[in-house]
Amino acid sequence: MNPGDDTGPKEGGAPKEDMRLPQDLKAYLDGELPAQQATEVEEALRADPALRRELEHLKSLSEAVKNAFPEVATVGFEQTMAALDRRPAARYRPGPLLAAGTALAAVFALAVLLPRGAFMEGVAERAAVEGAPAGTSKEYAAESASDSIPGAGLQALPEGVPEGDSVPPARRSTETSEQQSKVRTFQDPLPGAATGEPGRPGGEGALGSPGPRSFMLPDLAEVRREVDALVRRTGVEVEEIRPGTFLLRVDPESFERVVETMNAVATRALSTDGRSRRVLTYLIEKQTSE
Amino acid sequence: LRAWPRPSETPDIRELARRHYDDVFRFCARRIGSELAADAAQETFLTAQRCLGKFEGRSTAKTWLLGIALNECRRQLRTAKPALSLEIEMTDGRDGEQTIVDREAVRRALAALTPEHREAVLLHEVDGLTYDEAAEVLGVPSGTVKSRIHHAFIHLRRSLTMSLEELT
Repeated sequence: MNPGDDTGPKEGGAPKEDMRLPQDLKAYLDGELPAQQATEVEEALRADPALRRELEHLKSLSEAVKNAFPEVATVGFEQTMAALDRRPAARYRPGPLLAAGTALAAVFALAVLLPRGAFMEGVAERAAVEGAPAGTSKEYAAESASDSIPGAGLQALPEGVPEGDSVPPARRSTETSEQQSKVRTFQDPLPGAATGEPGRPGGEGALGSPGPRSFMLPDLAEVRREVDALVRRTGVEVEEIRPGTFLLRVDPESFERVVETMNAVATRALSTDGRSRRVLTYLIEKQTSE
Repeated sequence: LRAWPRPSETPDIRELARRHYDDVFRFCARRIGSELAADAAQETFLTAQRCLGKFEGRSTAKTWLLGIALNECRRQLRTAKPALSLEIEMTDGRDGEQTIVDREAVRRALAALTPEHREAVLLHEVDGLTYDEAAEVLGVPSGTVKSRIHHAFIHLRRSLTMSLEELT
């Protein structure tokens, strides 16, 4: 019998007892046998040292498989909650996005794409643009990017951004539905990247749909230098809220200046093309007094 | 035992996400890599949101979601660029060199399995599902899961034994 054939007699037929036992041994190890069969296996184990060794082998292999996949940090929960809020279910009403009277901070998100192979010191790769928890006192907003060509500029959203546009979407933009166009990541090369036109809108994955503005950058160092200098000048508070996602908390007086500076950083670097797959995101939040 | 709450207690999709997002994310990360997992997890819950009314409670909410997630992972693998599709990097920097080597050997052995065998092993051994739960996710009888896991382990052992012989 072909050992890879799982439709053979071991599944559907009436295998001999000695043929069935090895398969039962694994199920026994997994605690998946009915009591009667488990008893049979235990009796066989007591009588057969080779079977006991077999059981130990199976245990070791099972542990090795489990250990082959160490835990990874979960990311994207807040974005998923926000995406669910944006698209009400047919039968179930989602929870309120914001409590009444909650202040909405003016925020914009800047997604920075790095060329493939770019070195990201101290920053883990992230494929998605991260938002902030919905329903908290602050809400994040991504501007609706109409283009990303040089000079297009970034602007902060005004306060009181509609709820539906208030969270940076994040997922692969390989489809055209309304929902999918709002939820995107920038893992794959942008349209035009292969032809030297970074971030040009048009076609699948284009930047013409709502979402954070994206920029191709030659390397991470340039961005980090600019942001570090900005932080020193303005006293902006920076927090890496997700790997590769930085929240800049800015007082109202400095907000416009920070936006302009970040805009300039991105625009200057925009002429560089490359094949991007990594993303840095800067969320710039105007602090409110409430 | 009814796995799904009564209608009057039916949680909204947000409640499901709160309960199961971690499971779904990790499930996706193990199959398509952590970079794509957030997208796949999000799409899983958006799909679940669309289909919540059709859910009849014949399986648990978790296995229902993982079934959706499995389809989403397959879809992402079909559309992802080859260079990204199998990228799974999960070393945390605290492992000894031998552990990493062992992990790589096991992953290679898993990769050499048929998709059906590999999925059964992942669902049970790594995702921690029972045979019945794995069967719900895969849409096959529980006995098939048992058989697939059994045969998968035969192949795994053979592959790893060969790897060991090559090393020595």
